[in-house]
Amino acid sequence: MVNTKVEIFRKRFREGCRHVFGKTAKERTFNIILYFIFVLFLVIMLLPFVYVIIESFRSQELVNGIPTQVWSFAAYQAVLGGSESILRALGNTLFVTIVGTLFAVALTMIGAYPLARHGLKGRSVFLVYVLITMLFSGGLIPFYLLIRNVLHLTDSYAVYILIGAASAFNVFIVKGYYQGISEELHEAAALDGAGEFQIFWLVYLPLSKPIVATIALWIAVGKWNDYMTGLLYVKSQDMLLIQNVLRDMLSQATNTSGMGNSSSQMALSESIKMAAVIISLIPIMCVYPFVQKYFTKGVMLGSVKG
Amino acid sequence: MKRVKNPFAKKTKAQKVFAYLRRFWPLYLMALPLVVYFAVFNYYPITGLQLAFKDYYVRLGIWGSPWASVNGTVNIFKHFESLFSTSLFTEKLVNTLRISGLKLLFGFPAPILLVLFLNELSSAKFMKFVQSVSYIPYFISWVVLGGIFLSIDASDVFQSIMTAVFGQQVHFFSDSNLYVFFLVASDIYKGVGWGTIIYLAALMNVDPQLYEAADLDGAGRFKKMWHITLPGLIPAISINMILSLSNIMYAGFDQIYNTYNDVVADKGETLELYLYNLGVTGGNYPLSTAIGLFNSVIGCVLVLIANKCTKLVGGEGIW
Repeated sequence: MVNTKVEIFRKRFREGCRHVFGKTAKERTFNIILYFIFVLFLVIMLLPFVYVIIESFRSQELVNGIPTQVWSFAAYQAVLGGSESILRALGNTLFVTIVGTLFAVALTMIGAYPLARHGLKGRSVFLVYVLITMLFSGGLIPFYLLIRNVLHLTDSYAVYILIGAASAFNVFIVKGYYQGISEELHEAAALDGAGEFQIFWLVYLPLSKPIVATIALWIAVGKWNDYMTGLLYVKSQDMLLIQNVLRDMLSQATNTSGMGNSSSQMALSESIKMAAVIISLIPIMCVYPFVQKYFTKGVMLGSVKG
Repeated sequence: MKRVKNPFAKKTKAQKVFAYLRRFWPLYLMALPLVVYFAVFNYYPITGLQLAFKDYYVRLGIWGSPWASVNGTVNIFKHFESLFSTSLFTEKLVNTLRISGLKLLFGFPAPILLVLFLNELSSAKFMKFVQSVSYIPYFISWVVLGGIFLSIDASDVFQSIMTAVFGQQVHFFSDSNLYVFFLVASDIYKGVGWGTIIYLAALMNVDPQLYEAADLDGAGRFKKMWHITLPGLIPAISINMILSLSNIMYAGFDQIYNTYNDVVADKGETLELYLYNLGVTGGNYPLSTAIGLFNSVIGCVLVLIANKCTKLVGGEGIW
């Protein structure tokens, strides 16, 4: 009885292997090597994150006067409980990401609509107007002086929301998407007496959900990862974003490494850094599995019509 | 007598314009925010490029500052002359081209290779999983990734592995050649998965019957890879290549800014970093603007050439 069960299991296992790896011996060797390469690839891709996770739980404590390595949540407690700056920065970033994304999406979706309307007088001028922003820019310093000395946007939340709110690339992608929507729908709605606002709001916008999701996600990731705006234009510690606080934390430790800190402090600071990294990644990792398809969809749209 | 409007009467030009606007004014209103935004945040800074030809005085602002002069005589190209007179500029230019060139040489084929192998996987679920994992680093900022790599480099675990393999410790952030290697490798790490998307989309257009026909002819896997899959990718590869070439003046500011230090600056400091250090940190706005203008002009010309080329190879072009 036992023997037959083992036999059945072996047979099933062999069949399973053949199903995945192929029927002939040559195919099987090829596939096994291929899968091995990909497992190696996965390990390399994930190793830095495994390191961060392990390091964040590793801390050194004095046990009977001897520094000993222990596993604990000490670093997370230190990050979340000890300093208010990181929590505040998380709150700021969440606010800036949500408001900034809403603003940018509205600006892009509305602005791209007239660009997609054939027969609109002045459309080609508008197209060139947008295109030039893609080709030529004033560069860092004129932009820097504009924000600081002309618009006086330093130390305000507005600076986070306004910078990068519209890009020619996104506008062109949305315009391409609008043009893919059947012109007949527009004509039918116009015949029913709908104005352009209504056609945009009731016909085009509901049909554009995938592209809204795509550009919203791109912008949101950009806002979450933005450190340059805070670095250049925000001096107030209370208004900094998570990337700025992380940057300060991470660079601090590289500066002090090799200096005369006691080893327990050093180890804790390393784990605190990594715990902060994990905390900053959690929001992205939480939504990532659900939104991944929209990211890739956008790239394909961008590749078909720019 | 009641005046009756003749519907067949020819409309005057003003009437036509009025009728047109009455129907289409919402479109112009919708365009307005975007027009204003680009005017303020893109077009106005372009006028600030005059700074490259001026002597800057904070209290006078960009428009009020006088044209650049040497000993009282106006020489608007002063900043460009001082820029090109030292070897510093050439040094940074070489650094930029070295880093972006190496990234192109090794980073460009990486996603293509990955796609070719992904395409051979028999299990669709496993393929999806590999793809999902490979996209992850793309969404993580260089602040975080740079911090992780710096921490790994400094860790005992990593250094003991390096000692076991190479017989000595390997520090990527204290040797400028190793630093350039790090820049290229970590750039591939971050972008290889994301880079596959465009090629995977191209593979969907490859006719499956071609593979079946090749099977009947007894073609092996590598033969099929070489004669069917790769040719299917050629249009996407050529367009991508042209686009990457047009970005050659940008070696990746965020990556370098978040990982470099003075020790590796001799090969790590690119034009963009030089511009940043000179302008934002050093306060030399005109000279920094001159570098920006140089970069911007070259970038613009390269993009225009790139667009022409994509159209020549049969692509749609960028616009």
